[in-house]
Amino acid sequence: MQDVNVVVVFCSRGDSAERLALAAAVGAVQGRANIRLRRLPDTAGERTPAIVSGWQEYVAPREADGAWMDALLLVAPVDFDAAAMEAETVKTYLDMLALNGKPEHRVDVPPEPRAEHLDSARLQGRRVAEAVREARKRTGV
Amino acid sequence: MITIRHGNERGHADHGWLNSWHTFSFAAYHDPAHMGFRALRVINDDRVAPGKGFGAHAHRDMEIISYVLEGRLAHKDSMGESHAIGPNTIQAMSAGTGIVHSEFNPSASEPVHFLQLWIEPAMEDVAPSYQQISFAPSEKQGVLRLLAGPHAEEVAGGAAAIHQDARVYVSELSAGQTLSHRLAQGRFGWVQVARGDLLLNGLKLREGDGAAISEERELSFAGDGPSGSEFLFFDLA
Repeated sequence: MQDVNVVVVFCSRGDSAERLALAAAVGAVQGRANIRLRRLPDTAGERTPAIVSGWQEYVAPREADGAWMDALLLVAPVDFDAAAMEAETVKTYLDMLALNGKPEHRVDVPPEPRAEHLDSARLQGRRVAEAVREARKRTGV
Repeated sequence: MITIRHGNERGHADHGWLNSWHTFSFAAYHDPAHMGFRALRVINDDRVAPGKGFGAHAHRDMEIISYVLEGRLAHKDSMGESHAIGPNTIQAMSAGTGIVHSEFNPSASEPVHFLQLWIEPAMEDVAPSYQQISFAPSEKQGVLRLLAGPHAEEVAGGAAAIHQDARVYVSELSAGQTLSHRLAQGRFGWVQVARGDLLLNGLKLREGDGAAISEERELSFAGDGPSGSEFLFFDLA
């Protein structure tokens, strides 16, 4: 079976995004994908305490992620939009990845995620992996 | 038959923050002649610098056991488990349908030295789980102390239950101290020397050496050298 590679990238506003990113990543693994988990730098300043530790727990985004991945899962706060302080960071990252038509999916992070949100993120990660595999079957690529 | 896998012939990777010796093929080290032994797939002998570690990464369908020899190893995973372990503790994780975890050395000054063992499970898609069990150092002195085994009732409380017909033991023998073990008919063994020198049926094994055991029933272990030995013993189907 050909590998399916999924990059899961999350904005680090509190630990909610981290929890959902982990859930989405586990879902992708359940869908038998390889994953890379990336944390975008916390650019939101004092209003977002740095709950995620700064050591090497999450590798910084890399340009090589773009060529490696078959799909992207962006995990970001539900109120995240172009006006948010992280927007520029995300845009820079997506530009760096050069998606080139590869599917980009979004997992919304509510202020206080509950179990059903984690289940939903997990399911979404799994579906992304399965969708890539199905698309390959259809196109024969 | 006993086949020695000399420690200095293992795969080696020195990344600065990580100095790792691979008994079997792992990551960039690939040797078709050393892909594992029975269900035992990985023995990595890792030294991680203070404050460094393995970032978040995924596993699926693997029994992953960590055994710290010196220092402390922190662990955090997608199941919400977050712990730090030191010597005389077994940490076992069944990756099953999928987990994401990170491991790092939480010390600001001391390196951590640990063995990480991967055993292929007998079945796929089990529910992920985490176990951590500590024991007194005296429990491994002069005996084979079970760290992990296949049956929950057999290992209840004292060892980790894994999804494979395999048992992992640890023992510490002082110089000249001996220990005998009888392998059941049709079973295989692997010995991995964690520290010091060991005699296995009279064969000298040094720190980092391993030995594959096939078609042997009677095993004798003896601590050798000035300080004896600490070693792992795997009883495998």
